[in-house]
Amino acid sequence: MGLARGSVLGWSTLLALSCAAPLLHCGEEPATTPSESVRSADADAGDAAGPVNPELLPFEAVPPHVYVSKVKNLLTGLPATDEEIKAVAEDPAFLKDLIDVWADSPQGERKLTEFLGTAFQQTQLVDTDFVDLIGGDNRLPDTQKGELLANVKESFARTAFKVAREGKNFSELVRTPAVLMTPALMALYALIDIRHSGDDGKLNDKWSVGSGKNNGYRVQNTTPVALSASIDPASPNYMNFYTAGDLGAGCTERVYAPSAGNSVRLARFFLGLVEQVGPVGGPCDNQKRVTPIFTPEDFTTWKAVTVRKPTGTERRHDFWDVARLRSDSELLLDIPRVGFFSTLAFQAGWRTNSSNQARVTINQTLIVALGYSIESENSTQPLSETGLDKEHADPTSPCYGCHRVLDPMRPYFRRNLTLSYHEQLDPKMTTEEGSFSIGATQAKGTTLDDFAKTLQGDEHFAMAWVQKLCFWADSAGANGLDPEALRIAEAFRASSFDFRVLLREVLASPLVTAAKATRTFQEREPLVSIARYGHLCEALKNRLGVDACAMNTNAQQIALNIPRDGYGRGAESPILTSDVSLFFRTSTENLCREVAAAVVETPQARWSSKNVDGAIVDFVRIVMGLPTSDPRHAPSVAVLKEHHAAAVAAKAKPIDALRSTFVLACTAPSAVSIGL
Amino acid sequence: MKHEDEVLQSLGLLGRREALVRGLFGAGMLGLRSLATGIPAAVLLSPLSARAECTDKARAQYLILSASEAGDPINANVPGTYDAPEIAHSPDPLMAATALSLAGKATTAAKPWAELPQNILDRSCFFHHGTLTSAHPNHPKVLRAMGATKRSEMIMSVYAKHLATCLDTVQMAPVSLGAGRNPAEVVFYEGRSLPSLSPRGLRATLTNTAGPLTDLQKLRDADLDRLNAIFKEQGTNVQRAYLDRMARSQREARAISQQLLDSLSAITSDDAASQVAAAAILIKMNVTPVVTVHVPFGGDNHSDADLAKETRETVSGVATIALLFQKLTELGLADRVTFATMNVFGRTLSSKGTAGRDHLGNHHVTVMIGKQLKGGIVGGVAKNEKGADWKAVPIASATGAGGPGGDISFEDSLGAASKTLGAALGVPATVLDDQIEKGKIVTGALA
Repeated sequence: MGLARGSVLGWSTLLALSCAAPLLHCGEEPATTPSESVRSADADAGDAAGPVNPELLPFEAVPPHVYVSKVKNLLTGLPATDEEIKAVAEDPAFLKDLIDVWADSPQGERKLTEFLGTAFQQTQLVDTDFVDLIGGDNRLPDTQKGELLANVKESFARTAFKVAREGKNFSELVRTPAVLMTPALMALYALIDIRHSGDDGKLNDKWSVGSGKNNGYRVQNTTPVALSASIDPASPNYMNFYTAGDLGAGCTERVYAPSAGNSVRLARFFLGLVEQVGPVGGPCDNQKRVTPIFTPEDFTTWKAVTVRKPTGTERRHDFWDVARLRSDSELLLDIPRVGFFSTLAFQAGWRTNSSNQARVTINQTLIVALGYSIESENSTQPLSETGLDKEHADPTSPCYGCHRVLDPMRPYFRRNLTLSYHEQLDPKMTTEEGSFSIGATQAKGTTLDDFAKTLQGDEHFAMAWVQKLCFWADSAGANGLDPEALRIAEAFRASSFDFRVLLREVLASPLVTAAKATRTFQEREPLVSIARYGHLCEALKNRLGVDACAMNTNAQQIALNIPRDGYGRGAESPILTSDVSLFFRTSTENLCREVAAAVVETPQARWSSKNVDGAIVDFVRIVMGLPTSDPRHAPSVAVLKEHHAAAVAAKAKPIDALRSTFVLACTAPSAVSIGL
Repeated sequence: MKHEDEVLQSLGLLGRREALVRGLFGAGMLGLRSLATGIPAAVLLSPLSARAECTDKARAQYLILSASEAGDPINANVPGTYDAPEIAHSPDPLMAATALSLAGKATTAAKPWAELPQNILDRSCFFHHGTLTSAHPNHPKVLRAMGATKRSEMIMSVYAKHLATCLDTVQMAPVSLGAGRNPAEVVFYEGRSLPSLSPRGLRATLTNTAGPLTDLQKLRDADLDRLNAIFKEQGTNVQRAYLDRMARSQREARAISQQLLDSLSAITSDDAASQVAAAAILIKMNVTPVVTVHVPFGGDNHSDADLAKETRETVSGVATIALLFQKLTELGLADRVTFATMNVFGRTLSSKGTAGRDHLGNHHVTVMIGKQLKGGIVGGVAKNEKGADWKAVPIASATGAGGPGGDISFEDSLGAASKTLGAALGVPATVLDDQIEKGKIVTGALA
């Protein structure tokens, strides 16, 4: 992230401190211009305002060796070093500088990108969630490895991370027209643009309609044809696609008659799947995998792409025009796309219907941007009740409480998008004006961008993101009236919504470190949490160099039962499993056993029974995350050594004794928890 | 019809700010308090709900509860919704109205229900009631009887706390197998969200593969206790409490019988059939008194032309129930396990014909199947005051009959369903009345 203050230590020193950690891939010194960070007075510790929950135990401050390790683990998955802990113990404010460095590391990029994907609600989807967007009961066409779905999930998170890293206004993400995409993902956006469905659910495939229902094509493996010719309407080989792949015994050509479904079939061919074609039982009546038209680079080459509607003679992008997709940084499409809430990931994750009328879309958008979910208890007076669904307009209706706030916002969406999130072509839907009334924010408008602009300017944005980071770090939120939380929100706002400021202020705050009491801790205790999937798997990967949660089938099966972060429909807060259970205990133990087999006494292993003492010190330092200066380091080394000795005494082979010692370290409290 | 705000107020639901705080810190903050003190949260609850003495072990039943945030249209196709001709049903012959008998009482339901084995039908109770909400996000609230449970505990957790003692299960908390990737269906226990487990991952998660590392497990456990002690010695009060819970989870893990784990290897997906198969095995292993699953019965079918999805999933859903009882019979558990469904709401019965169904908080049917239930219909449904759609009617607690004059009002019917299910599981009435503040046990539903 590279936000520096006028520190007593320069970047090289900071990097050196962090690079003392094992397996850290040190980058170049950040080139961003340092700006002044927000350094307000210390939080109003123990603020007297507000009641103290009598059920709570007295607050006990957490020392630097614990909270420095916690914050570094959160941001990088790596253990803290002695130097880092010492530096913070001497000057607690130095933690903010370290946060900048950690966030700027490759590990920090992965951790924060994952956080941003979840926080922007871009990740909770599977291929069947695309049936409304694609129509015809089609799930997402994809490669065998699921690369396209991964692109869908990562796109906005990468965009957000880029904005964050560059110190740009983070609130712009609410209304940005530019999103990072790969050429393959651009093709998916273009395919969905073709697959228009109206509010009546009828599919009007634009390729089929635009060609006068003459959209047949063929795939053959006998006569090479350049792709450029295959997609050139002026070419005699238009819609004649060549593959070098095997189409099956006796099948050298597959001819697809005109059909509204051909756009999806052709997209699948571009992704490496040739579909069967009649006659039934014939040589071509089977699916075949062939080399995809999209290359591996088409799924890994990310670029900022601005989506806009074509004007004048501009031509909409076709999903099959791979060369154009690779070269262009604009994507000309009919469906309006604005900010996080009209990405394919968001729309696939939050589908609407004729009864819901985009209310779920609006509500989830409010949750992401403002941390606000409409509930019937809500007392906001709407600016206008225009647009209120007649069925729910009766104030005595049980639905009125929510509908009176949500329904006036519907026109922002409904006049622009159909129920399947395609362009709205029904003139009846374009008459109403949307109005927005939450708290002090009142506005009217007609476009998705009008809605986004209002969200961006709403006062709740800053605190919403304070809370999201608190949940990520602590598995619990802050009291919204806590002066410390309010201070951070104001700092974020004052920085023109620089995410780097938010990150350093939250993670260095006593809300996360529990180095001192804040008002929040009058209502809840500082939480110690299990390391959920994102934290545990990334820590194992970064500390040990093995992709522990995906290293083999058994590990993948085990990892299924390690809790993950997620948002439920209508929930302002993420659902986070923070407590231990027998299932977490067995999951981590069995996962550690899998890892032990990879990192102890194998040809590439870093640890061998030839150097037991060195291995054990590493286990405590790297796996348990306790540097030498940590008061728990030495006694832990002693326990591990005694365990190893006892295992040997019990006639275990040296390899098994050391692997058992590794498993002991890997299942130790600090290795599988956040906040110890 | 009573205005929902009034209903919510009468149910004592928390205000918005309180609800937010509860969301942030957990219901009643009991879990956190427990974490902080190290005292098991159950002990912090009133004595009735802690590991209270088991008054009648013989009556204690395990529960497999199917819960859906989608609000599936179960209520549209079960006994009790075939008397009024205006109620729309799927035109598919697979869903034809079919006569059946529930413990000797003749009634009608969609064909799949009628095809359940008679011994299952004779212990199947179709409990008509309201859930008092028509919003998906209120699913967790419905499972808290819309504010009627003490300390906002979910009903399955209320049951689990009592049943764990009677059944001497490895853990007190329920096991959640059905939430999958839907966080809205996560189960809470004492203010803490429970992990949503994958059936296909269970075997790898729980199995101690034979070999040298398993041979050294006892030694490792003892040394892990020593590491815990080091962390406790250096830790804050909150950290010490967490470490105590870690130690307890290890003891629970070691109490898992390894003998039945091989039977989990046949489970290769997370679908409903796999969930119920895994649930039956976990109960046979005596891991928990309650397992939650998600058996689809048509889902959120607003636009469901000819109710095709409803048909498909009612057929598969009832088949899944039949499969469950087949598994339970094979495991010798048919008389020891009760199955039930509890969704966020039911769905409209007539307003859209066969073009689909919208949300209906006024009518929902909890299906309960178990040894201690009498086959039959509890309550019923009638046109609501506006005549637009349908609403559950009051219930006579002594007989289960529905209609005007019943001593259980519509507003109390969700609590009544929750208490009746608890009673069928063998949870004493004193515990249920203490923990669920609305409704009455419908004794007429109990065998």
